[in-house]
Amino acid sequence: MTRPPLPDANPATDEAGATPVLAPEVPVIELRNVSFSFGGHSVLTEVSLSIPKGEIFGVMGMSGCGKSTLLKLIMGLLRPDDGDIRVKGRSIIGLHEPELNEVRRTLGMCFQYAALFDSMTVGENVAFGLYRHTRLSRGEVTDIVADCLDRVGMTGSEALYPSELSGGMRKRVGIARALALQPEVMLYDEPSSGLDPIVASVIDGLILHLADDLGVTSVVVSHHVRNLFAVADRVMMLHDRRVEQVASPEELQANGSEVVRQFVHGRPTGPIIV
Amino acid sequence: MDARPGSAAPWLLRPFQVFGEMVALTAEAAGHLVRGGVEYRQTMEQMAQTGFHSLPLVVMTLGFTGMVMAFHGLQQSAKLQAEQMLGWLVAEAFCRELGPVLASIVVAARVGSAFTAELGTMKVTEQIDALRALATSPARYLVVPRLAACLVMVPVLALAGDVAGILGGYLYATNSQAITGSLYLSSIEDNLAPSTAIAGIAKAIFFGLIIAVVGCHQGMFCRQAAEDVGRATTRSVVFSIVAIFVSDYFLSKLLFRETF
Repeated sequence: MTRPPLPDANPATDEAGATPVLAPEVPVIELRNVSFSFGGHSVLTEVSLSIPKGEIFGVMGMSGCGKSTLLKLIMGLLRPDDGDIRVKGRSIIGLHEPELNEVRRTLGMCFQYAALFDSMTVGENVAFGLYRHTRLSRGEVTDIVADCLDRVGMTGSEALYPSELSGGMRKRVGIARALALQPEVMLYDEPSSGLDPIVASVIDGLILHLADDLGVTSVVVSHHVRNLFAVADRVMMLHDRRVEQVASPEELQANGSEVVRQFVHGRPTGPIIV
Repeated sequence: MDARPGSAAPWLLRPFQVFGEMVALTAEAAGHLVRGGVEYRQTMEQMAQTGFHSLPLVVMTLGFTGMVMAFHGLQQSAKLQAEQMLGWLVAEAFCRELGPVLASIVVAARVGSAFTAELGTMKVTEQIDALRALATSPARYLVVPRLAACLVMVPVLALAGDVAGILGGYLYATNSQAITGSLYLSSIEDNLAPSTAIAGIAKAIFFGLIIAVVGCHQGMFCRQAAEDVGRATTRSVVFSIVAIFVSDYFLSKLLFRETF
């Protein structure tokens, strides 16, 4: 399941190992000194990252450290207090909703609890974006829906409602819904959480399969280290609102900081105070 | 709209923040409405929910209120020997006040609360974020159909309520044998100005706006916790009813100012 690193996928970090140096080509996703707070609480402080095309980029950290917030910032669902976010070189800061929607059409998001529309069937969920943003005929949409569901191993589930699905099936339908519009970037929020190890591995396999087959750039947020290391080319550790370290899974395991090692090995004592 | 969690203002400024959010939500929805950004399927569904399914409750509530009005009206008008004016008394009360206000309260309790619960649940389960992630405006997809349904159906329900109340009064008056049915109806025909009914309908349109905006706002801006959906639903009904009564005073002063 472990994937070899992509060329240029491991840019150097500075001496402190905290600030990644940007990849030489135009990155698909780029954050420059992004800070975000709500309710007076700082969630992210001066986070910078750069993700080249085709990479599977992992984000790990303690619960509540701002991993999901990071995805919502990239998707433009939240606006940062400071810093710049670029998608395919275009800054999304200050964009109005219609322009932001143009950017969002190139991104697909799989939410932590799938966020399927519970008043719609599986088929209607997957077809939602197609009916709204394309002029495809009903027959063409039906074919694409069937194809997307087939890709995620949910063939023939069009008529089911989300309430009839298990957690893993919902996540797969959530991925199919995001895939229907052929996004260039997939954002996965905790794809393995709440799933048994076998279904979690199936989801991991799906993430790898989509990246390899469709060349989709992926950002995977998770606190399940084993699953994240199995799929990611590079992994970023968020700690104390900042980027702790960015490196390949192998490097993190070999030369991770004290914080990274405590998190990876699940040790209750160390610099991370619970 | 960027409904940022936890971005509540200090409690003293909170009413201004809420009002600002409601104005912004209304402006965004109105913008979609004006540009023709109407989701017809959703709008028809909401119209059925708001109008058709509320009709029996509105008719029953206002029908019985009409009977009570006739009961009290007959007792009081008898003292002035003005029983022949009973029909007009009931019709005037319903067209000016009782029809629009009571029908709106029924809709606020039945439909406004449902708007908040539905949208609040969608917020908590990240379905609203999912809409935005699928490049779909929640204001257009969720608020505009509900707003359009309320703007159209609340006045229709108010009109139905007027008719139900007047018929309720008619039933009581004729059964009590105090006055004849024709006398009851002719007093309405001779005295009730069509402008009174029109002004009542205008009030109902404004009340519809209040119900839709408050119901949708409370749902879309509730915090991402299940317990807050319940609280938001209660707040939605309370805010709507209070806003209906407060605005009713000012609208009545504005629309019926020629009388006194």
